[in-house]
Amino acid sequence: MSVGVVPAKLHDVWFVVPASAVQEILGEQRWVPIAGAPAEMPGVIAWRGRAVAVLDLGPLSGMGGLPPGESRRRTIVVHVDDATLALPVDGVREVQEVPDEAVRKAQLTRLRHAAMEVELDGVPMPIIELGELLRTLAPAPAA
Amino acid sequence: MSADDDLTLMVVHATDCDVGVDAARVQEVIPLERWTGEAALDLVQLAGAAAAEGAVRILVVARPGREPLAALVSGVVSLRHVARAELLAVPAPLAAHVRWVSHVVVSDGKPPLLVLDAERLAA
Repeated sequence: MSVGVVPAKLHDVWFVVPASAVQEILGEQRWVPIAGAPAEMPGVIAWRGRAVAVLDLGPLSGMGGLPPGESRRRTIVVHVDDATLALPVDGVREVQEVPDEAVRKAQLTRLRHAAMEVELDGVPMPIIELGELLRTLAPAPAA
Repeated sequence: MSADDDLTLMVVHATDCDVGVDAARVQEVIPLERWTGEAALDLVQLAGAAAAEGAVRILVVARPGREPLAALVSGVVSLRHVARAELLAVPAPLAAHVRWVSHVVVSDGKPPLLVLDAERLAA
């Protein structure tokens, strides 16, 4: 068995997101900052007739957030749990199929919300756990 | 397009965006010096911008089942008509953090517009 992943780059750091979560990969997108929003989710983009929350991995990886008025070259739109999120990144590669046994506990990478990693072309890349990340940033309201 | 398809907003200008209030809910526009109510909520400051120069006014915004909201605005207040289809609801993950915006409007060539959510704001 194998798992599909989409490698993406933020500054010089590569990571992967599960391909099954990816809805679309867009070019540079204008985004709307909203005052009071957390640095990891600083605003929205318009996508397919609705507003989608921007998920900025910069603050999570210690690389600083996306300043208002700036954007990144690519935007990965993902669907996780019941939410759609837009991840601005600096680069994206094609989907890679990796065997299950190549997915291992994070040893060479350190990133919050990425307990596992894969190695692609000799580069270890953390696997972003989008569901866990979303649940941390926007916990479900108490019943 | 019928009038019901459009929404008229009273808009103030912040640094990178406009902030709008449903004009149908604005009961009164009062110069600050005549305002005798409690402290008003500064809309431009809420949007993360510095106050604009110019007249300072209070918009009294109706809220169903609650006291009206007093919103302080400074500078030019204009009207902007938007199609309801252009109103994009703030997505749930973000709405959990941002209680003051209900919708955004993104139009080519215009600053993004954030629509005030008077009902979700604290009294």
